[in-house]
Amino acid sequence: MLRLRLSIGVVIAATLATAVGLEGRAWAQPVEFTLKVTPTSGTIHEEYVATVQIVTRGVSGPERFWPPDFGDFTVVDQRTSQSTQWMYDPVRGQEIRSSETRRYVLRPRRAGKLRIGEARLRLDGVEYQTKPVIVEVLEAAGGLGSGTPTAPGSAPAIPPPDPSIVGTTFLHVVPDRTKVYVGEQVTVTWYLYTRSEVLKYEPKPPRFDDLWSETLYEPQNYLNYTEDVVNGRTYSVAVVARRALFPTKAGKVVVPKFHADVATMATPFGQPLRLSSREVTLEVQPLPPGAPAAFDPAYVGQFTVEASIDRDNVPAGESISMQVVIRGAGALRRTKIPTLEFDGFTTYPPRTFDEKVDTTTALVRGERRYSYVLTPKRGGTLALGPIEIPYFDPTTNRYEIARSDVLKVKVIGDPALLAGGAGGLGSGENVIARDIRPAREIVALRTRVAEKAWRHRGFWLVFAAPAGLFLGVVLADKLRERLRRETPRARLRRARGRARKRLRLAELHIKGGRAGKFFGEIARVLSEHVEERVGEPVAAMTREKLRDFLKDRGFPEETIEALVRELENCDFARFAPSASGPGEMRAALRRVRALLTAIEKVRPVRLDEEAAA
Amino acid sequence: MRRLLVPLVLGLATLAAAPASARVGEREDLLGRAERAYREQRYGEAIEAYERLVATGIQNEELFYNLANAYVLEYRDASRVGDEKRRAGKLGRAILYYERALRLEPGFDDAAYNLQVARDLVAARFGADKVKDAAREPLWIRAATWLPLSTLAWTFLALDVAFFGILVAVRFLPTGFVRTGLIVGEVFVGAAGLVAGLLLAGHVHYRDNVRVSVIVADEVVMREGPDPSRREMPTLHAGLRVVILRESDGWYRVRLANHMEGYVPKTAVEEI
Repeated sequence: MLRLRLSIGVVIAATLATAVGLEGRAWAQPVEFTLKVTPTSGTIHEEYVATVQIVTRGVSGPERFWPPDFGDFTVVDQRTSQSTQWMYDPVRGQEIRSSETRRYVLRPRRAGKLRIGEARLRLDGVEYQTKPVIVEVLEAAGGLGSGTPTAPGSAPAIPPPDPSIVGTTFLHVVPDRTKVYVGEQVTVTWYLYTRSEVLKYEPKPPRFDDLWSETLYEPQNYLNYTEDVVNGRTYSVAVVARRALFPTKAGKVVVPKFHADVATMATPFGQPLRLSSREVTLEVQPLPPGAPAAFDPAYVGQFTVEASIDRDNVPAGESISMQVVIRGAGALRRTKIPTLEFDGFTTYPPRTFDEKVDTTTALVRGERRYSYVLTPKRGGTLALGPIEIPYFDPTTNRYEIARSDVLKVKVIGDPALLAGGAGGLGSGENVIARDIRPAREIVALRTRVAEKAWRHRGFWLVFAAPAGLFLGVVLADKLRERLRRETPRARLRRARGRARKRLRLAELHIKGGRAGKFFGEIARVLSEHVEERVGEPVAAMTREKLRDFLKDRGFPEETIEALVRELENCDFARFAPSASGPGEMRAALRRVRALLTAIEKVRPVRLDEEAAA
Repeated sequence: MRRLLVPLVLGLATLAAAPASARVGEREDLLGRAERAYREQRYGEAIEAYERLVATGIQNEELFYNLANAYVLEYRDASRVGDEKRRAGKLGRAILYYERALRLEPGFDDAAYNLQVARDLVAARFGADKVKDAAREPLWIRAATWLPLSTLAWTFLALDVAFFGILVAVRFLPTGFVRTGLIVGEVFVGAAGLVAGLLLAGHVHYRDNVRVSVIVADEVVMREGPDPSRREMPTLHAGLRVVILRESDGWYRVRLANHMEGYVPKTAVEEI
């Protein structure tokens, strides 16, 4: 017994130990270990930021860390920041998490698809590694304006804040430039500087008037801190917002204050404090005169245009589809659908388009795809294009024109003839170009049933059938109910039925010469008939009593006498059957029939009715 | 005698069935010819075969649709080569058969689309018709013909059966939740049946009494009386919907959507 208890104890202890061990192992795993690079594509002149984020449970960090292999990148700056946060996990409850952010500012040494290797760390004896990242570095210069916009999330040297706003915690705004053209991109970054641990952060982004805004960066779950020294004091610094702003009017345009409610260990009772950045005034210059015709002011930046058609041979009367792709850096989302006109074609502009805008790079870039339907108005080989999209390039301070290639289309036949023929459509409108939808395969050559059905008598019979069925059911139900009801008439009906049966039997007894049985039968007929009429048994009554009983029930005297006489006759004949021949039996049968009719005519008085009267 | 009876009955049955099967065979043959010609872009032949099929009395929306398509494509081919004679009357008949397909199957999207293409062709050739709301039916007709007649008929029958079925059930069921539910359902079924019945009656009335037709000639001059010498009224173009009011010596008195009435030759109009 003792041995069994020991064994159970050992098993429980082992299970607990295993559970604790597993728990400990799970506890030691990093919550987050990632390598991110921004931007993942850009030019050779841009800076790239690789960020390694390590978040672990508890207060201790990893035992060892191996940075990524940066390959063809040169590390120009490196910063590390650490923080500790209280987190609420739905499974584990409240817990401490340690966060370590390692930032590497990189410059590419060559163009191409460059690989940044995986970062590795060891935690509780177990090694973990991130995924490698491929960065596409292009040769072409992409910078606009006087400066080079910074990449989102990157950590360039931050211009020092105005000493007047410096405190324990403050918001600092940094535009990448303040003198721009209308429609040119300005990148504005807002930083949170703090010397105390941030307990709560709630941003209140401003509304931008006279500025088209694209979000380049917004922190998602938590702030990523770096360090900066202001006035000899070290601050934790986090980017709280980065926007690409495109002025929509010339003159002085104000970038409003950015507000945030921030609670730190230093604020009284941990209550949030409303912080505000300073305003930034932009000097926005109008675009220079001499804009080409059909210039859309939203096209400020650098753009290209490509065009393609779905076929270069088209029969007269049919249409072709033209894809126009406009790519570039600038406020592409502000642009309008280009109005295109081609000699020899009717152009149907698109109502919608496909759009891809990339805001992960320093410059807002993207493309729009439009699909135009073109209908030839005349035959022969027709030229399409070039499509020209004028734009203003702030890097050269000049208007440029993006041009597509010229496309050739061979139109077979003469659409003008199709449209109206001789004496046809004067306007040249070619509506036949719309293809009709194709023929259907006829699976079964049948006339639709209902086309004939509703004319057919059968249809209306089927229609009336449910109603008829319902009426039949109701009538049958009523009839059955009525038959079940106990009324004088029902009793009489039943009595007649029984009498008929017995009289038929009596006739058989006549034929068989069974006088005793015959008279017995007709005596029963008479008794039952009277019983049915009065509703009480009379067979056991003496003749005198029967006489009085029937008299009380209102039977006529002669009927009573005839009945009593006939019953006595039956009694006599039953006990002396040899005295009755067939003739006498038939005479008795006739009398009984007459007597039954007489009994039926009587309306018996019920004693309870009489008493009531 | 009994030995002879079976072959005799079988022979008589075969003789009785022979015309029907021959008719079916002929139809299949015509359909095959029409479809082959259509595939090979010999639209004139396809039209001829389809028309012969229609003449056998078949009411089939896909047949009407394919025939209408053949007319449009024949019109297009004739236009390409500038054959004015070949393309005459094609658009009117195309519109007629699209309308017939849509009458059988109001939700026939392809037919509705192609009908619009055919109407655009007419408008491109002759200019937009000046008759206001020419292709727009009155509200009651649009409501009654919103669903195909077959759908309406079967819906009405189903609701009829359901209504009386529930009545019988309610009569026999004891008082309780199910019976109350059935009574509530009966109200809805009854209301739906009433609506379906009204729509069916409207549809049938429309079919039987309103002779909606289409101008099949490319152009026809409406006149004040059934005589070419009577005063001219507006010129009507292919595909315009009119209602035939009565016949008179080779002429129809027709009413347009704007309630204007006049006479057109019978050959220029065909009932949908």
